[in-house]
Amino acid sequence: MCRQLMWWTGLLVGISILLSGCNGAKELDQRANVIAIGLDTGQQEGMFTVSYQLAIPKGESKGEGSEEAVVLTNTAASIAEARNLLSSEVAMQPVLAHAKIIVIGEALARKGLDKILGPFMRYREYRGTMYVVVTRGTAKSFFEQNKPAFVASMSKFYEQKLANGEEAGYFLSTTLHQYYARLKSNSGQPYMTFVAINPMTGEGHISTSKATGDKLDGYNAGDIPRQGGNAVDFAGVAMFDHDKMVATLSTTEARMLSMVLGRYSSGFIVVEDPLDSKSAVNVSLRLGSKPKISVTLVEGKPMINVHILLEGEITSIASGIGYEQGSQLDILEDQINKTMQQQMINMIKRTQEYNVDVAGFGYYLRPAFQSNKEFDDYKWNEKFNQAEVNVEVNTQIRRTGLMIRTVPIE
Amino acid sequence: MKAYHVGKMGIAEGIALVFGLVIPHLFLSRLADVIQENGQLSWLTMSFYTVISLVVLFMMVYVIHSVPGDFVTVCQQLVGNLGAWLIVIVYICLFFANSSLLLRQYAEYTLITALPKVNFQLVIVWYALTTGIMCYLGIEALCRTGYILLPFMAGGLMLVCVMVSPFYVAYNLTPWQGNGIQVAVQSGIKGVGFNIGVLSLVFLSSAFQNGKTIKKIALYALGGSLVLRITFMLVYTMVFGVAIGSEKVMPFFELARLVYINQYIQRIEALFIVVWVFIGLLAIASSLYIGLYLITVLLKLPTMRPIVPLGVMAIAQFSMLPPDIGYTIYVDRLMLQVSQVGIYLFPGILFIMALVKKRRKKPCADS
Repeated sequence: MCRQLMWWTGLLVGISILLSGCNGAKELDQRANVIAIGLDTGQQEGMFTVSYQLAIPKGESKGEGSEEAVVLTNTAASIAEARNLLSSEVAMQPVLAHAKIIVIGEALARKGLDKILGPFMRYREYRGTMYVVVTRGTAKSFFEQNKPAFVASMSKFYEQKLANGEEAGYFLSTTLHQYYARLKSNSGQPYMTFVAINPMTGEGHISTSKATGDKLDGYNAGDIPRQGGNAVDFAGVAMFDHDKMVATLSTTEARMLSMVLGRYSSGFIVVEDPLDSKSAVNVSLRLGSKPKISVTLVEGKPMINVHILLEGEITSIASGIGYEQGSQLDILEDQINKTMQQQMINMIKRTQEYNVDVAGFGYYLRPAFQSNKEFDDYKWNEKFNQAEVNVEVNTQIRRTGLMIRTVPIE
Repeated sequence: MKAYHVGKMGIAEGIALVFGLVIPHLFLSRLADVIQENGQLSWLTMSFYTVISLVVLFMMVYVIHSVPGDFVTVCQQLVGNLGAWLIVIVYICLFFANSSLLLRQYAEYTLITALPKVNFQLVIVWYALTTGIMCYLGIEALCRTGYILLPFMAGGLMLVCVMVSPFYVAYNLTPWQGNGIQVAVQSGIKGVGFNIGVLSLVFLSSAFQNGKTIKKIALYALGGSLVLRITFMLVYTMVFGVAIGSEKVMPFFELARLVYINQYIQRIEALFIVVWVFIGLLAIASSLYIGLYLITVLLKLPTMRPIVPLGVMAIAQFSMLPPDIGYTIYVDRLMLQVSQVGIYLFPGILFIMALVKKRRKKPCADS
């Protein structure tokens, strides 16, 4: 008995020593952690320019105010080769398991991502939760000019920026998984966040003009009239036809898309004052419920019905007209309904113009078919532009901010 | 009574044994095959696996109750010595093959996911050694370990399913007929080998209290595993859809990799690797144990322990025969087809023979 006990004790001690797991361990300062991966077309046919943004460990940095990350770029025939080259460029072991984001240059995105995104889905270092964005210009210049002003760590910057994107709905964050799922679904087309370097001249370029009753213009990333801070804009959405980027949606259009997708959290809208066209009314809006969407086939032709319920809070009435109560409130709600409806129709028309169902209306058509084969044979993505669209927006102003009425100035 | 005839195990241990044998495929690529073949109706296919395997088990319980003795004796009484040898050897091969293939797949997936730089042979040897120790300790130790792990496994699985809820796309569950009802039913009938592990209750019947216990175990274990499988299947389909779902080698691991609650709760799949490795080890050990047990009773050996190292070496060697993971998965698919012999043919023959024997006995009893 005693001998058996000694045997077992010896075995357990032996196993615990063998399983202590220190053999393959790497200290943090022995690893080169890649935070972001940038992909661009190479100068030669069939080559890619791959940029890696690597975190500099605090212990290795040169003190306060020094760079948080370094950008290394190489040209290779594939992602795998670029990674090999990276290990020749840095003293530490490159680790891509902590990469937060893949930034794709617009030229490459327009050429097609089919060939290049394959390894990201197959190799264990990459994961579906990585964000994917398209940048105007090149990913390399995006990394070089991206200097976050308020966040200490670069990885935190990407994470915070994209996680907070749905706050105003002006851009929509997309993960690699979401992109890939859309690409293979036959029920819609993929989209990605659109980013760019802003020239910061203070002069913008309007991409989407105001709808009737609206006071806001839509901008694409890089076109927002602004000065100061980080030069990087996250604004709008890049639309894809399968793996090829075809066009962008501006900030206001992206907000409509986020409403249709049920991802709109809250944001301010500014509409023309219905009783004083020179003034504006600001309302903070959020989705009152998930959008009610149905897609039916009427004589073989798709018909899309979208019903959006918005709940709002008045945040400013410049004219001082008492919209807080009674019939005046109905007038204001009606104005918001008309404006939102027009914006929504414009956004959907724009996606139909390129025949890219980024809103994923095809998903709502799937229950109308009995089998996958029937649905695949219908070829939704080819018929999306033939769809008739009805949009209904119903706004309920629930709150009037911290004021119950506006007393006019004598 | 021989040393390996325990006779003290109850429902909990039995449930752990069956769970351990039928659930591990959730973590492997067989699930991707099921979803590719049946699409959104994979849940129906899974239900067929369960219902048919329950019917087969109940038939076999009837058989072992109609003739006294262990499984080999029962077979000898019903189909003669040669028939019994044939039946038992086929079952031994099926369980050994299952053990080898699971060992190879778990070793490969350990290399892919957790320890990419470790030598392949070392992983095989390490897993084989561990399963050998588990077998050596006996069926009670195996089942009770499984019982301890069961809540963690089921809880972990459910937790992952909940944590990936931001990625749910409910419309991925439509068109609701998937690739067709007929396809799902056919696939359900052809793939019952998925649940062949439930027959371990029949082979080890002497280790359980009585026939009622075995029936209860089968109901609880297969019912529970069906609930888990269907839940997982629905979540998996909602998250990945049919097209991407059928691409994945390790469905559960891929699902766990998608968990991103916030900055602080993400990249948690390493926690679940431990769960599937434990479950895998239990499954390999259980399959090996049943194979060895059948050899022991077939050869009427007084004890099983001396042949455990031989069994371990055999499965380790077999597991290293396939040249690559693709071929391993191919053989695994093939074994699923071959398992139909063990799930339909032999139980069918034994059941008919037991019925015939009972009818022949009756006139004698009457007279």
